[in-house]
Amino acid sequence: MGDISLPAPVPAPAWPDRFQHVDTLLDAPGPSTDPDFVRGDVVKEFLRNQCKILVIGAGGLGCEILANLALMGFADIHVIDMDTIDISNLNRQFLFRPKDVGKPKAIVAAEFVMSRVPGTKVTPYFGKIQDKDESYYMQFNLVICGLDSVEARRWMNATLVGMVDPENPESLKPMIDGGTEGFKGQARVIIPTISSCYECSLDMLNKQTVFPICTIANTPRLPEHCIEWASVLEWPRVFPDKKMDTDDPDDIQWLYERASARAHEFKIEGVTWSLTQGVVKNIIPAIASTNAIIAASCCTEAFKLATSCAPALNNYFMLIGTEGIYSYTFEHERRPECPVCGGETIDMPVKKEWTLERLIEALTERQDIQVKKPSLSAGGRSLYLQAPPQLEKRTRPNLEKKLSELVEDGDELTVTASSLPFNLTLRVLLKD
Amino acid sequence: MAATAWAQSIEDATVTVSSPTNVRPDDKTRRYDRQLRLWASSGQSALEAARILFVSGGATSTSSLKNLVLPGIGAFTILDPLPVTHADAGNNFFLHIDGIGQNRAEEGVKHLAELNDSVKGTADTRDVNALLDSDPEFFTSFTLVIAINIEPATEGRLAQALRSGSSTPREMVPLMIVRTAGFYAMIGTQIGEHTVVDAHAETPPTLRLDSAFPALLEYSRAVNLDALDSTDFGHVPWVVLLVKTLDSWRQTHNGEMPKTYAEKQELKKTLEKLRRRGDEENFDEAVAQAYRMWTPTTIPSEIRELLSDQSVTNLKHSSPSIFFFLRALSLFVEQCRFLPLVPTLPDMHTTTDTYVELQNLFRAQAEREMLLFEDCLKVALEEVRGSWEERETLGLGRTEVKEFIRNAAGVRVFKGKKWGSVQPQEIVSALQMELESGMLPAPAAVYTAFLASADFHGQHGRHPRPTDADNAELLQFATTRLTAGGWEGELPETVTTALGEIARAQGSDIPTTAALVGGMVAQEAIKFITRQYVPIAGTCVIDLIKSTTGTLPF
Ligand SMILES: [Zn+2]
Repeated sequence: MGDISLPAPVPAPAWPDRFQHVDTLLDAPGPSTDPDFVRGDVVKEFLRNQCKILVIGAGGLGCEILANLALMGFADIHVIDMDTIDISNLNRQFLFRPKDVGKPKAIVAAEFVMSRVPGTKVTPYFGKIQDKDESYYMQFNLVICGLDSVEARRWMNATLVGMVDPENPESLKPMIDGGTEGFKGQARVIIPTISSCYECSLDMLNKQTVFPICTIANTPRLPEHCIEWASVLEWPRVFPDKKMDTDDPDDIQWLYERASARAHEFKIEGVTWSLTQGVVKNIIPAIASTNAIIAASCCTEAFKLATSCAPALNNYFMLIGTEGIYSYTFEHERRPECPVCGGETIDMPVKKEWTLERLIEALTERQDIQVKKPSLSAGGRSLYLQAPPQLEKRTRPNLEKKLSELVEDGDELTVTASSLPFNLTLRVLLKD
Repeated sequence: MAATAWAQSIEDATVTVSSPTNVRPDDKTRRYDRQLRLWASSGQSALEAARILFVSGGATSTSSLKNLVLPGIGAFTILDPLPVTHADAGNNFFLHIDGIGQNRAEEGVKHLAELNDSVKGTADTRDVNALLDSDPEFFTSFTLVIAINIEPATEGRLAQALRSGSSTPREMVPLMIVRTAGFYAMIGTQIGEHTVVDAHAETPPTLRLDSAFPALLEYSRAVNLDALDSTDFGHVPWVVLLVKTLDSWRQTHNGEMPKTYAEKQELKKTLEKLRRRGDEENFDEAVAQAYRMWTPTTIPSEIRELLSDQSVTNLKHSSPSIFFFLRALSLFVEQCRFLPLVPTLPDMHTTTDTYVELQNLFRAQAEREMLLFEDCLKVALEEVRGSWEERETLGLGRTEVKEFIRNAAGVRVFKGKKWGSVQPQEIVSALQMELESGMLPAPAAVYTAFLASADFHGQHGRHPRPTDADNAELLQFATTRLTAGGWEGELPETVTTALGEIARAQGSDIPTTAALVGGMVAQEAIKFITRQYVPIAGTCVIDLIKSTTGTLPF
């Protein structure tokens, strides 16, 4: 995403007492501080001149994280974001103004932080995390994720866990992850291969509502069913060659009109423009205050990890702001069969009379695996491949076959999918 | 969130911000889309009418304000006579090195105003104590007052001014008092009376299946399962299956409900036995919801308590609409034993026609109960010599009635305590409780450290420092406080640790703590202003060394 001129840092001016507040925590240990803590100039030198930190996401959490890090004294910050600014970001993404709509988030955010906090260098990358390789990620001391996508987090987590080389302590990059929804959120510290990783806790995510195709096609009951019908079935039928753009109001308008007509036909009430947009874009409510809490929690932990001035969170902080200020801090345990950081294979109990298709369905329903459109093979033999089309066609007949014809009890299956940043191994347990 | 509740709140959100629901949202609705999905247009209007005062313009104040300016509060004022120092510009994102020496309120307002054109910001460079002497009414002219890191003595004076400035607790301007020190913070409140009109409780509305309303019972009885072909059989909604099953059980048990565990299991088995194949989806749903057959529909205890509260039993013509509704509710409950039915039916496996039919049954019943509720409301009005013609002007119109009924289960009224009224015994008992539980967090210990630090400041006019002398003196202040509450012997380690940390912090306002507390202050402010969601009752203590928060009841 080449020729956009990158912002330049503003040189640090002479600024006595600049860090007067933060320095209280770096000039003296507290009763809970680790004995390894080296007070004073050494820790300040590391924080302000050597530590390199990566922020993933320059959205709701990212804007807050960048501002916090700069004020805490992190002076070499990198930020990756692939999005451009939308008007609906302005109720919380406080580094952006109406004039910035349409521009890349990473670049505008970097520019703003550098001008407001002189002496800070923020290096933006307008693109995807997947564009970068291990040698890129190896240069950082810490990574903070402020993402709204489960898929991107899984990729980042798997990459950082995969980078760990027991011979090289520098290869261990702590990952701090934040997430919010409405008045709720969570922040966690992941020490790859040592503490529970993102993948270990996949089953804690809220299960996403998926409407069965037969409901959408035949027995709609809710306004959401009508909207799904318009987007999943009608759009591809009417526009076989055009991809839907959920950011284009004309496309939303079309879906809204189709959904309304269907709702009217079935005497269903409640299809609105806003609901249509919410369903097709899977909108999660978001506010500045919750992002501020979670981002600050992430940055507090980054500061503690970088300086050792206080013990870091071990390892999960959960906030519920809907009823008073309630939070819960606990240690999430590693999962021995975690496909990313564990060593044990995952057991998949199945019935002998199941078809391969039924197995795939059961697999996609598993909350601890969360895979869409998986391809399967056993001992190098392809059972079913989603792509390319020729191979899909060749393996399709297997979908109808019974598992007892395809595999033996205890066989190991390899699962791959484009949404899965690693290969998964399953042990099939055939039951009667 | 249940799909139907979702639809409801979004519809509500779009209705008034941009009038018709069928057109594309305007720029304002688009800008606020992600928050309107939480507090709807009613919450947004309340925010836009709010005027908030921040006493002092430090990092925690501007961090809080940022989260209130972005969602579009009406107006804010920062009261601060101090100039921006080098240290202020270094720890505050809304001050700049170029503004050093300028007034802190003016500089803060300048940078905060950039965030949202529709918010009016005012800098007031007067001194809070001088203003408390000369013009205490100034403080009562705001919707909400938030004092951050001001002198403890001034906190007390401010709290007193807000109490004296109102004739009833209901009119008292809510006050939030915040102190921060390094990784520690506390948020306290002084509220007179606060009403939550919509708690956004996550429990779905009851369908009252343990005592189905007559039309539903009749409808369910008319479904003859044996006569249905397998497709129709697989599409009987679980609501009907449960009502039928319970109905036949009661007919063979002298009309009694299942009471013991064994009886409930037996009832569940009866339901299972109705299956034909074993994998019918509607039965899967019915089995999962089976508990609804024996869970008695009750009135939530908070509501029951509220209905016997003085503000409800002693209704006045001048009472806010919510108390008219609650009085009407109490009359309604006397007659019907239930809260009025909320016509939100969850999704269930069935055909479109059956679902719509069932939904219409619920809507018709809800309509009947709504009319009955209005009769009660009429009685409530007559009790205070009001007339039915006044309903619209008193905010008791049909729209408001429907909204009240929809949220009735989540209505809460808080009676606050005055700031500074906590007794030493209360602190000691909270401390003992957290020591006994042995678990994180330890809010009473950190709270004690804040009190000792304030005592120290009162004595010396400066924050304690991490020196042996200051530590010893802090320990003495804490010991005096706790001994007054009945504590005997040495102070526990949680307290001495907190004292050590508070001395180390020297009253510093570090950016991450400021940001975190600023988020919490803004969440609470939004809850107070919109009267949606449930605010803190008591004092929240934040400990970012242990990465915990805890709420003390006082
Ligand atoms: Zn793991």
